[in-house]
Amino acid sequence: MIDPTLLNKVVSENLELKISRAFSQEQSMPDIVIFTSFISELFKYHPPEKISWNFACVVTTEKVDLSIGRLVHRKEVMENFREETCIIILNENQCLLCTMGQFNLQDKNVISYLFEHKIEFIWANGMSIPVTNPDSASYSIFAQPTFKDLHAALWQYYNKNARYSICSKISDSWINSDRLRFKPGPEHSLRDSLWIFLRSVLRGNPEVKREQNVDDDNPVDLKVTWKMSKAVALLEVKWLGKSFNLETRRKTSDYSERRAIEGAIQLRDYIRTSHEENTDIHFMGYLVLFDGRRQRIGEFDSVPTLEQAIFYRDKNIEYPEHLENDESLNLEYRFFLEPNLAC
Amino acid sequence: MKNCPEASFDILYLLMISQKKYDELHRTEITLLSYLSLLLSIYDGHKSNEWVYHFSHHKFGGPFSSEINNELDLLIRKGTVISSTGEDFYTISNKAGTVITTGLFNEFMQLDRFKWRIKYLDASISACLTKSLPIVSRAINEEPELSLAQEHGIKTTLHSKDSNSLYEQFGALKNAIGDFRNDIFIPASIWIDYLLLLSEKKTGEPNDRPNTSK
Repeated sequence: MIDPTLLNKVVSENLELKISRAFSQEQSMPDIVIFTSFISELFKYHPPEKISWNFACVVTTEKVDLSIGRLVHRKEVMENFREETCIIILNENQCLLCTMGQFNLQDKNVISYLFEHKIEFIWANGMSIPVTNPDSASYSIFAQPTFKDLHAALWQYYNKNARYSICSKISDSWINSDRLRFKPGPEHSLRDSLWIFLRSVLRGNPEVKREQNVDDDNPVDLKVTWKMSKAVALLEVKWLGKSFNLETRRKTSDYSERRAIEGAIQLRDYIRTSHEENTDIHFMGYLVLFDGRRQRIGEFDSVPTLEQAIFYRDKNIEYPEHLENDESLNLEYRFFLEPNLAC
Repeated sequence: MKNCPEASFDILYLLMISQKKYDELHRTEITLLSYLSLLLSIYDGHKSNEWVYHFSHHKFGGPFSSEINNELDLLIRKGTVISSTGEDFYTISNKAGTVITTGLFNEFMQLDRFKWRIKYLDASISACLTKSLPIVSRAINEEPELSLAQEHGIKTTLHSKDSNSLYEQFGALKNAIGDFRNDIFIPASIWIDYLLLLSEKKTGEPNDRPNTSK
């Protein structure tokens, strides 16, 4: 049975219909498919998360004054899209590039699109058409989910699996259920826990692979490749805290803030190398920290107070400015693993 | 199994025209878009058997067509369609791409047997330009007959008989928006949006992911 309330809702909100209805029956309407397919293709080559400048796209039934811009082939726009511009789509193959503001996006007989500070606006025949994005996995309705979806998935992973060590691969990484000290070498289990999760939740079936070589000597922990886009994410996984040998009761490793900074530098180098070798791919680096730092656990048997065990919960890593400001690095994923002192 | 030129044509045509948005399509996405094309032909007044090949529901969800599956395997064996990574994502090979763009395939496109299908294949791709394929896939799972088959584990061919529920949805859609036969991607887009809302209503949560990013 049809749900009339839902149907009325989509009829009142559907983008293509609203664009179409902005034009009267007597008017000839610019080609919506040329318009939408152009923007879709642009975002295939340039994921919206990587576009830091504003741009506009326009189709019109009016004759365009070619002297206001530079006539280029569509392919050139796709390959060399680097800066703020207004793209007038003339046909399947040709575009006119002009500066923003040179073409009135709200003119009659025009369908126009503006991507401004990662927000989308559309006008049709001078009318503003609200753009609702039902999928928070991407900044644009025309793009496939890539980096933004990964961002959301990483936090989902932390809240559902990692924070309280729900995933068995994480819980098995601790010496015991108080979750104060790691077993020696937990990195592979932690990485695999994240790998399994991302393989099942990321939308659009991206390829998620472990230990992918970035150069001759160094593999990155996880690599996510989206088939429908030119987007690739490199994820470096590090753990912070102390590990002990269960038999000798001796400390085997002690990693703190410095480890995180080294991880960020390593990741930045991976991104640079990858970009040099594949200039048409958009690489983004994600440093994922499994933070199991506790105060006062220097000895195998020492038991910290709750305050000491959660001392690092809100202690963010202070990265050097050049890493913090690096647009290709995402350093916010510090997953503080909660202790379990009630056991 | 007998060859099915219609399925082969649809695979190549979908791979060809989808390249603006997708470098490669997954086997399930090719099936999804072919299925959507069939449904749009029904919306436009065709009988489902005119589509020639068939769909059932896949045990892991979504539509499944043995003809699409077999023809895709055949195209892969011939080297017409390739997978760049050895996984289940496909694109037209360079060699085949040249043939397609330089004529032979164009001749097929002019044959009445295939020509009428192009409107629906085009519309299925155009309707998805403002949506991501995972979203479309989620929506199409709510299509009345597919949804019923999945719910009850029914293995029979989808739309082998007239589906009242589907006609009811299409009828309501036509009443609500009027005649869009020349721009059939518009009702297609609205219908996908409707099915998506229906899916969200069922699960009770539109999206539980945080919406903030760098």
